[in-house]
Amino acid sequence: MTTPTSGDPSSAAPAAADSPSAAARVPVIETVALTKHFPVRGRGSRGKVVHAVEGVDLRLDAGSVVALVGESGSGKSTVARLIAQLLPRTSGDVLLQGSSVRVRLGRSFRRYVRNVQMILQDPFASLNPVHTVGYVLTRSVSIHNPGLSRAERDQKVRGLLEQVELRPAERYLAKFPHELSGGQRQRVAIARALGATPKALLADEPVSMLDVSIRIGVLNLLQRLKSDLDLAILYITHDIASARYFADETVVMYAGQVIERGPSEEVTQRPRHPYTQLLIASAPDADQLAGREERPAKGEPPSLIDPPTGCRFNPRCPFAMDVCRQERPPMFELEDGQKAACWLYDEGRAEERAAAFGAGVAAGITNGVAVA
Amino acid sequence: MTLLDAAAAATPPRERKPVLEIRDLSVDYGYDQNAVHALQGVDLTLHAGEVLGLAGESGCGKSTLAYAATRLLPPPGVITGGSVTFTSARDGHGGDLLRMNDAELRAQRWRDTAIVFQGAMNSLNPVYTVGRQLVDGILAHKPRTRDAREQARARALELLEMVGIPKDRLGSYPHQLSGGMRQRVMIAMALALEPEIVIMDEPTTALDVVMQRQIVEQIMQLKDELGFSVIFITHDVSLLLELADRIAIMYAGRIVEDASSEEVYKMPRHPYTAGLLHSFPPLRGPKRDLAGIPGSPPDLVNLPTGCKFHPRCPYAFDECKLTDPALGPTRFGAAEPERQVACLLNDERVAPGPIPLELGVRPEGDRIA
Repeated sequence: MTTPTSGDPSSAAPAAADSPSAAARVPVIETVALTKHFPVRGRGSRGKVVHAVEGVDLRLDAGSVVALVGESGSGKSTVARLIAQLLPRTSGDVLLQGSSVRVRLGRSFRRYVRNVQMILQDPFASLNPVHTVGYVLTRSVSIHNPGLSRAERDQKVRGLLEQVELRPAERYLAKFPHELSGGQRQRVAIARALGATPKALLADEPVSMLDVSIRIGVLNLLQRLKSDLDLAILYITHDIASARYFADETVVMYAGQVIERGPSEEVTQRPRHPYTQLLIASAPDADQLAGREERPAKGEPPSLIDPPTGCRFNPRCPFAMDVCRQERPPMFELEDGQKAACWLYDEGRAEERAAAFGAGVAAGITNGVAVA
Repeated sequence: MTLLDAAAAATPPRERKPVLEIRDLSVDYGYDQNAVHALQGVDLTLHAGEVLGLAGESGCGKSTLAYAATRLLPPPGVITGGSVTFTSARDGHGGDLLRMNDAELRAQRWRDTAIVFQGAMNSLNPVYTVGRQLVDGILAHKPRTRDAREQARARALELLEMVGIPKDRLGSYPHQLSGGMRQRVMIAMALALEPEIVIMDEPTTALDVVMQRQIVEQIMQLKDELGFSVIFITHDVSLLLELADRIAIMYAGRIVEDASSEEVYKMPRHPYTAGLLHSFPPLRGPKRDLAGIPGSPPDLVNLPTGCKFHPRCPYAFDECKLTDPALGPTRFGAAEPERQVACLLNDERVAPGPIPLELGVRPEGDRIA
């Protein structure tokens, strides 16, 4: 339990394993200190802003999945919208294959979305009910691939349907969205995104609205597309168990900031940040019926208009020290590529930590095994 | 395990008193020959002090069942048959809810059976304070005495405190509360008249896992204190495994399996239950590849013949296309008296062979055919 072996076969992500040069390659999408503040409207709120996203660094590589996990209101969807250029960012940068992008409309926007496509949560709302599947996909193909002949275009549309496992394609071309089940609709939405032959997919809760029995099917499809097409996928979810199943890397957000990141297996099996520990302890788990302890952290996420000083989790954190109320913690590097923004991991504060909780508890926290 | 739990587990389940008996309940949406059969011949019993989980995918009829059993079904929903018998565990009063007149029903509702609706955002009236909404409900069921209003107000304060909301929130409007607090207000309202049955329709679906955990723990704590029975409706089977004593799995308007939650988890008997359990990626333990269930949930307008699950079932055989199995004992019969399943694999007369290994796990860990 103390040192996880890096050779653990279950944690080795296949895509990352067979591309040792991944680190040297230019990431498909990179965000640097991405920040978004929304102005607050209304009386008495002049100059106030909602600190929706602050200083988020992400790196999406071809052929890998990064999961962005957090509660509603943690800013995870805003990050996707910023990357998709649907919202202008306040500061920070979004890089597409190494070059900074800031587009709003017109041709430059269209050129950008050819590379970066989004899949939305609700396929009941994201497909126009008055158009057939064939029309929706043909539009996508002809917009993003100008100059194709009609035969080539039709062939590509059929290919898209085959790719998302809607076979035989002919059966689906003339269908309207209401004739399809939720899972089939989400597959059409994925096919539409693939019509642009993108390099990156931003999937914002792609399975949350689907029936439980078909969610895994859609995730498995995305997994296969990722390896077949060498896609970089940002998977936004509130379900950390599905992040473990599907993503190579997991990034946990709380109140607009990244608080922990690392390989999915490490983050879910040995959560370091007290919030991640709380999140994992709260998830329903039938195997842990007997060993469930009292939850130490109560309360609710903070207001983002007037966030707490220091660490934003400090009002709810059972381990909060003085420094947590004063200074925002930086990302501390831990073993196995895991990082946590928590003062508990500051080597210079081992004594303070031990004094506050006793040496035993402090060791338990850092091993990610004990919550209180 | 607390002492209380151990004592409850030691009581033979046979001796527990049923508080709600649903028999052969059927519900259609629509009136003519195009009516959709949303529920068909559902049998379900809720015992005193029990938490009964009702699980299934959207459209399987789990909410319809709850609303039909309480006669809250909005048109075009029509109850076409069956009975719903309430028997008080406290003083024995009760009767068939489906045959009560309006006055009886109005008295019965809330006092005996309360509902926590899905989505607290839409269930509270946005133009009244939560205090007023609590007090109104209590007043409607109390004799009109001079100090009734003060008493109701005191009760409302007590309720808020019980669900962990500061007393000064009594004068707040719903929009001033967070999602979790609104859900707690809904729970407080449901408990206002100390009902014997509380039906919870996806009470935590709109909440985050951390808040879900808090609410669920609160519900269980209140249940132990006040001794009501719960029907908990959700699509999240893993949540039910934790909190329910018994789980009924629904598919296409029928109950396909009814067993204790541990049995459902460790030894599913219906292929759909087994598939559902394999649809949730585990948070702990070894990582494994999951397949979910192939195909899509059925269209109730156009149901398959025979067993409604057969087009998606990996174990389907010819008879499954012809016969719609009834909920009955499992193939292990007398060894599992508390379990029921609706699957032809459990009918020795038609099953093509032994039960598939995955569906035949026995408590000792042996697999018997």
